[in-house]
Amino acid sequence: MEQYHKKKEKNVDGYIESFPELKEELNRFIDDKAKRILKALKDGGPILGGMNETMPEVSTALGIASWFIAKIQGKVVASDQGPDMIDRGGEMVDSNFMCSLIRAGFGMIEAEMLPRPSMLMAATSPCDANVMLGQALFDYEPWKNIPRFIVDVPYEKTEEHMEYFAEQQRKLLAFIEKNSGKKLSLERLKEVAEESNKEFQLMQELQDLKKAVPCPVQWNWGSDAYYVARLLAPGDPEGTRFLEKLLHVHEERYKKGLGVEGVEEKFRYIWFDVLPVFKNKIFYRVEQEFGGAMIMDLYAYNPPWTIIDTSTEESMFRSFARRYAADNPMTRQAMATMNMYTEDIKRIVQDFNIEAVILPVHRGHKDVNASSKIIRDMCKKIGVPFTTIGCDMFDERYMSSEQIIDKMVLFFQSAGLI
Amino acid sequence: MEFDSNILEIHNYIHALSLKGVKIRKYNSSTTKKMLKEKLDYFVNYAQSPSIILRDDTHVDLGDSQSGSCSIVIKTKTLPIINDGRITLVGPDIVESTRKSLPFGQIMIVGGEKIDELDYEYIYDIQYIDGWIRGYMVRSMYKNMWCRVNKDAAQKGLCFEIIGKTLIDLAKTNINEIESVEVIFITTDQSDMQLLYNIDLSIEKFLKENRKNQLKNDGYEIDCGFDCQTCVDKETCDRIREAWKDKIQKQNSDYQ
Repeated sequence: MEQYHKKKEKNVDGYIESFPELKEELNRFIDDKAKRILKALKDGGPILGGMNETMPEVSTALGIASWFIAKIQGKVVASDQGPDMIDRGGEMVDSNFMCSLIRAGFGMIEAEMLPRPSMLMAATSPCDANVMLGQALFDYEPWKNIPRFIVDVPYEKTEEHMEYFAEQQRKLLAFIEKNSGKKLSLERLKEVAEESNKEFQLMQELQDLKKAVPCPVQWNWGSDAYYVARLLAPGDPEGTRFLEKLLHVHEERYKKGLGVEGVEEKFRYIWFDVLPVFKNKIFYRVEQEFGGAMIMDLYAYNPPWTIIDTSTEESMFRSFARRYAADNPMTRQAMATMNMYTEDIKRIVQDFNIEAVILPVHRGHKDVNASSKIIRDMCKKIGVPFTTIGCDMFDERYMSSEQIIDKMVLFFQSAGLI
Repeated sequence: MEFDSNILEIHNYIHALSLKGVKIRKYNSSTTKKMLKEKLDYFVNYAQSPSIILRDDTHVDLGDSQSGSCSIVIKTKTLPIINDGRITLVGPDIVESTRKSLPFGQIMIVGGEKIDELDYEYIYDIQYIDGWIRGYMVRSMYKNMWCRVNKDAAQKGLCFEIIGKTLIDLAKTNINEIESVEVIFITTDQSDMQLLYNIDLSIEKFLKENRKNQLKNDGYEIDCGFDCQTCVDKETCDRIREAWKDKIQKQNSDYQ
């Protein structure tokens, strides 16, 4: 965590974020989560180590510490240790082509950087590399006696498949209860689910504001809202309070017809994948120097989310299942046919007045690489300029932020936007 | 024609609902009364700018995640089975809504002799009319539609007759090949939309096949189905999945 903050300070040189006080609050969520893990480690309390973010409301409802590996990996690759971890993991798996975030995960296992959990949860989503990393964690010798559970996420989204997945979620809950020594009442789960519904509705309202020209919501807040609602404070009234505040300040700007402070919006584009860990060096500059407003990224997009139906136990688990399998970013698009990806982009372009589409084609995301031509053809059909970048979202050594900006600027110029 | 049986099914279903005593209203968009004309002049926003309705200004949400939503567009060459210009409303109208949210089903039946010459995905997009009606916001998403009406529009009389007429006019104006349009709205109950969900599944299958054929025409080599249910490799995939499920279950059972 210290390493991350140190690196972050370096990155923010010259970078001004809208509503820094809210960013501070968001960082406090991260610190609190880390502190809860440290406390549980010290006291011998239960810790759930997770490979995916399915049903995060359970940890909140039971009041147990939990970590989600991708977020720790993200923090590590954003720190000074990032390149070392990526290389270390690359040597372990003998590959430089695997997603660098996953490679860093392997490196982190070997470097003993992950907090020892009291139970482990892996999943068959959203990608093969993540499944492999889960298997590596399960095979990790010092953790071989830690109870583990694999959530089997179905590829299809029919009612029959959702029923199967809901059953998986029930079994996951039973597993967590057994290994944490805590029993979850239906009433408590319902209370947390209803709070979580409020969070998702606030995210949706925030997304609506992005339709405005100029857009009052800076590029970072969409995925940060996801981060709070899904990972840092899911179903937690503190998360709702934060999102309420976040929405309120942006609603006020919208009512006054204001865009992002200090930005003269000239055109609008989307970056439809994960944001790179060195994102502050890219989007802020494009915004400041060229007036390019980045309206949507993969994790900022709310399709919108399934609301948890708390009327019965069955309906609750069914909607938890649908929320993860059909709505959760990346799982939604990667575990579906190409139609989902192209339709999501099309809807965003048409609803949010998007003038350019960037598909970063992160080199670890082989599915996106493979589909880029289909997406290009779709964009051509609806008349929106499209380009790919071909960068590595977690390793700037592969393609620097300067090179990425150069590619973006060339694209915006050729599209007649600047 | 792919959807003719679905169109008949919808018409029969609405008839059955009326026999059950469900309130059903029918309007004809071609016989516009003076009062409605004035309202249309007010509500239709020819500048078409994206609309935003804040939560505090909301009169009613239509088809939000809690209430349920389904939106479909069906095409046919068999013009006699379309009631051209008809707008049918099953359930309460906007101003009658006593709740903050209503279930929302929107069905567009479009017809034309040359409709098959058009890309179905192009026709499919006519259902999204965000920004065309003042005080009416459309949150579009793949297969669903969540709309919002603001307090001012509800007070000034925005109703489904106006929304339906706008949909019909826009469809006919924007796509020359569309000769007939019928629109049906359902706002009663989520259970009343079950039929729509089933039809939606068959449309989805058609869309996937359509997409596959388009890609083939564009020069892509596709050797699998676009839908797992119809894919020739389904049996192989299912066998792999079953083996995988067994492995997972065995591993999980040690810790249950």
